[in-house]
Amino acid sequence: MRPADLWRHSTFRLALGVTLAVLGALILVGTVGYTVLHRQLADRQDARLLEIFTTLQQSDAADPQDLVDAIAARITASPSFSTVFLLRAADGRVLASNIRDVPIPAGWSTVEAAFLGVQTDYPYRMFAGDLNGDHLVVGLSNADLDDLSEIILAGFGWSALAVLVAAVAAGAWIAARLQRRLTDVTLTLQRVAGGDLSTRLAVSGRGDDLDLISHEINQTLCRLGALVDAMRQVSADIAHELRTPLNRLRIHVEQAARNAAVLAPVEDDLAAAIAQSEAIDQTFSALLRIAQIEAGARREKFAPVDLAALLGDVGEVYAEVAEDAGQSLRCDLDGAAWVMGDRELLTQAFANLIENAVRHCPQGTAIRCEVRAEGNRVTASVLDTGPGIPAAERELVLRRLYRLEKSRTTEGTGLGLSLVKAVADLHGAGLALSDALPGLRVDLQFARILGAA
Amino acid sequence: MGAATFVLGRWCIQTAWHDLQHRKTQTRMRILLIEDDTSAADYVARGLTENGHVCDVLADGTDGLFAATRDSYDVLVVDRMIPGLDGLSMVRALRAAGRKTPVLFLTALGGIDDRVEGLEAGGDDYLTKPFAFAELLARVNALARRPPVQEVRTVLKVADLELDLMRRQASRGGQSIDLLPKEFTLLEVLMRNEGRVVTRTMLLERVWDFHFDPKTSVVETHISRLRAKIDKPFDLALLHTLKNMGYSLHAPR
Repeated sequence: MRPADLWRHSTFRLALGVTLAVLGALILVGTVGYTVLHRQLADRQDARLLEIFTTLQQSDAADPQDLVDAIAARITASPSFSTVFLLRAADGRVLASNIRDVPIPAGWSTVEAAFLGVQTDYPYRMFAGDLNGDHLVVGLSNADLDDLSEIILAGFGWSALAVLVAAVAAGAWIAARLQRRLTDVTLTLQRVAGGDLSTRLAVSGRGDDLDLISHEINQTLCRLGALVDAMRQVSADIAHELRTPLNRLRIHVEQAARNAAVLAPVEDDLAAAIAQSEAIDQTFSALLRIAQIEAGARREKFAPVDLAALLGDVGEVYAEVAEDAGQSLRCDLDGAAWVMGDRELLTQAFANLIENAVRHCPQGTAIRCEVRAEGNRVTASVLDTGPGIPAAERELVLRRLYRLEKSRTTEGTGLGLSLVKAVADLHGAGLALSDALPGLRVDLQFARILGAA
Repeated sequence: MGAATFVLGRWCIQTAWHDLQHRKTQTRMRILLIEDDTSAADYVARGLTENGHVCDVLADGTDGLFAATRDSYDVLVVDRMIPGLDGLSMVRALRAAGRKTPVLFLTALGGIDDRVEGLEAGGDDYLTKPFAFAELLARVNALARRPPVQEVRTVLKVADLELDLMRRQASRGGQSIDLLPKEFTLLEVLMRNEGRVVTRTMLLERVWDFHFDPKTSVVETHISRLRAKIDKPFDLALLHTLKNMGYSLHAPR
């Protein structure tokens, strides 16, 4: 990551934002803390100053000379000028002092050391008042107060610096980690854009938000891959399955044109050509329909469907068709069996299954439709007593890639069963072909939903 | 391939025309065809004209909307993929303008949801390309003379055949006929289209709600069962099979 790029990364900006917020909070806390502490210390200093003044005031009450002595003693005890005194008599004479004779107003005040003629850098807090006609000024150096304030300020400063460094480091670490995973996502998506739909994002397994997003992206990629596969399959199927009948169509038309040229009848060839074009249209529609079902967009339109009623209706439509073919069709329906599904597609799927039985079984075959609702499953079955499908081929029938080979060897049923398979997959239903002893048994197992209206 | 289909289709329509000669001439209708594929448009327009209708052709959705709003047509035949304004939007706009002219959508989109989309946009019927002209003609005729919604008929009559929709009873010449529920619906669809051709696909859609092409003789089987009940015991046949076209229920002509 180049520093110039840094600003463009949301993770870096996030880390920086957090750091600035922490810094802001520290400054606020520091300022408030410092102000409160400083005021507290100043108040204490004022209290001490007042205490000294009051003590001297009391000593003055007995004898004026006592006061002068007491001040002189205190001056001696404060060689570093931490405490300053000035006692002036009513006539202006200075009775005791360790500072220059300067006018100090009565009450509280703060003055610079230089003004008092003292060689220190700290200002003084002064209290002045009248004592039996004399004027007493007492002052305390702010040295302690200022030093303490400085120490507190430095403490705050250092801790702010430490927090700042920690925040920047943590932010940078988090940003780098996040950035690494985001870079992974970017690289993966670039590979996808480059055409590699099999690539997947790594999921850390911590179940965090990035994992969730990665999981979603992976699922999208799975769907996308399936869609693209389906599209490829359809294109291949169309090319494969339509070229042959197109060629036949062309032959019929050319033959008709040749016949027309010599005034021979053309009706037969044209009728054959129309039949051929209809066959092409049917194959094409079936392929498109299967592709659309496999694309899965229909799932959004699912509604509760009573499979028993639906299969009953389809069975009713075909009962007489089977009868005309010398077969019998019976429905064993076991009360309502609700599933979520697409009525139109389910109707077509079951019609395909029944038609397969009608078309590929000999006279005398008994066809049976069953719907059973057990526990949380609904099983819809179509059984016949016909020749069945050999066990080895049952697998092939359900495998998509074998569709064409299958449809070629068993005259067109391949697409019908492919559609059933596509509809089953769309509904998340299990599709199983087995031996009905004798005959073919097709089971579709759906997830049951409870009592829709 | 398209051109070949239409040449073949033209042959088909000539065969259909012979069948139609025997029938009462249809009332002349004004039909507006909005289709940008000129060879398809010419073919359909010519077929409709040969069947006694007046057919105007436009190739653009905007022009089509304008014409359909301004003039009173009996039926609109609208391709879904046309320049200007697409077919769906055109019909939506037409319906929004309060025009109730019946619309038949033509489309090369054979998708499962496309039919529903077309009907939701205000279309009355839907036909997927490639189609046989006979199918188009039958559907256009069925649309044009669809009775107004206000007119609720409770008893349908064709010659001496009666169908009481309220009591769900059928009778012919005063003799009661027992029909299964689906047979009743089948007869109802045929009787509502008295004298007009109802194609196999139309029956599949309207009677059984099948929107796919069955590989077995579903329609033929049920028609023959119905015929055994309503025609066989009587002298005059009312239910007629028109080869390559469909079925028609009418009194002898």
